[in-house]
Amino acid sequence: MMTERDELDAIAGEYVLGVLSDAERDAFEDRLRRDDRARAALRNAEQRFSELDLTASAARAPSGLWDRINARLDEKPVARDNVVPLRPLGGATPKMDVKRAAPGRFWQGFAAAALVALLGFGALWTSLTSAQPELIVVLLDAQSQPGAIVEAYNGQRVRVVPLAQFNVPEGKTLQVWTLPNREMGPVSIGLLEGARTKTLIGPSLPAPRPEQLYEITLEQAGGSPTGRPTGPILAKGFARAPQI
Amino acid sequence: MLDYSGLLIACANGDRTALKRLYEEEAGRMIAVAQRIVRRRELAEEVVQDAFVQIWRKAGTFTAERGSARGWIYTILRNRALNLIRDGAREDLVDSDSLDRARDQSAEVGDAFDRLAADSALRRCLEGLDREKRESILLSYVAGYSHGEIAAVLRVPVGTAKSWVRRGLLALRDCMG
Repeated sequence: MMTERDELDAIAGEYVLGVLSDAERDAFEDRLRRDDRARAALRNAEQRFSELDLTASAARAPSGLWDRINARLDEKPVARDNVVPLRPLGGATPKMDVKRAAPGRFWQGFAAAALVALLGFGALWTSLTSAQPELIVVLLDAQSQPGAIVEAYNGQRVRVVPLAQFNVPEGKTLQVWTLPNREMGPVSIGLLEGARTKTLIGPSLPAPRPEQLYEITLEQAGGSPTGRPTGPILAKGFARAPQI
Repeated sequence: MLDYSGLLIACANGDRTALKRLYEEEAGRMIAVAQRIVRRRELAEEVVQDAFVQIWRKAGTFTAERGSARGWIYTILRNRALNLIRDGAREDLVDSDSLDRARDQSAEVGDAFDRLAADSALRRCLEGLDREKRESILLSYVAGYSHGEIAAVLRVPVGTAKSWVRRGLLALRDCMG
């Protein structure tokens, strides 16, 4: 039986290890700002592992590295407060349908997110153009409105960006599926914790191909018991190759 | 011993020489720690570059009460490195030679453990863990493995990997105090 303190120490440790999901990490960082006990738990977790850092033999820093850092110190950081979350906010309704974001808010969020991508991470990301998804899928809901974007990076890893507030009743979860081919049938890629962007590492599947089907269904907590989609389809779409 | 907290406070007040002191002291080791996670040297250098920019910007949020200044710096470093691999830079490596990579990294993980001082409490307590919990924790801390990657390497379901990490963390806490 986990006590409240166990729970906090475990989360702090998982934070230091870097195994939390994006949502869990954001929530813990938020808690750190206002909870002394969380800060103490984190301090202890960091200290337990810090000896492992000392076992790394120091490399020789290349001569230009400090100059590159120094040149970046004047860059203006993008204030978090100015960033509208991409996830639209919507009130809970008991209906199990997909609620659309107000268009204004969505585009505002999109523009802000794009700005962050350009300014905040510019220097780092320019070297990472290889991180383009192989395929992109726009998943539409029953009213043919965009419900989510799936970016497939390979046969195993996808990133899901919800564009709508999926209503997930208590005891239910969102499950992401794909249909690699008829023989395999639908395969689960993973579960979403509410309508939040998440990277999923699914089973190792054949490389995704254009026109491959992706869908999100509502399943009981913990995922479909049969290993096949059983609940209602909230959004689905077919993969397309991005034109770069 | 360098006064890390004092230097961070100086950074928060806009003193670039303080950041440069931290850089001179730690950059080499930070590159090595980042390289354990991102593998490629040039990526490790980018991670360190990015980490120092973050340290500069966030120095004002560091308080001594928040913990060890050195721990704070390495948490920033590890977060930058993990962001980079989770956002895809490692994909080409995973796909082209995932077996080589796993072998490579498990050697590195073992090496990190072997290099812990003989009288280290961390070493003693890691030795006291079941092998699978010890490996899960070391793969994750040293090589930046996610739950999914640990599960793949140790050939168990993700839920099992998660629970090994969690139980291992709590056992370490109880052992180290």
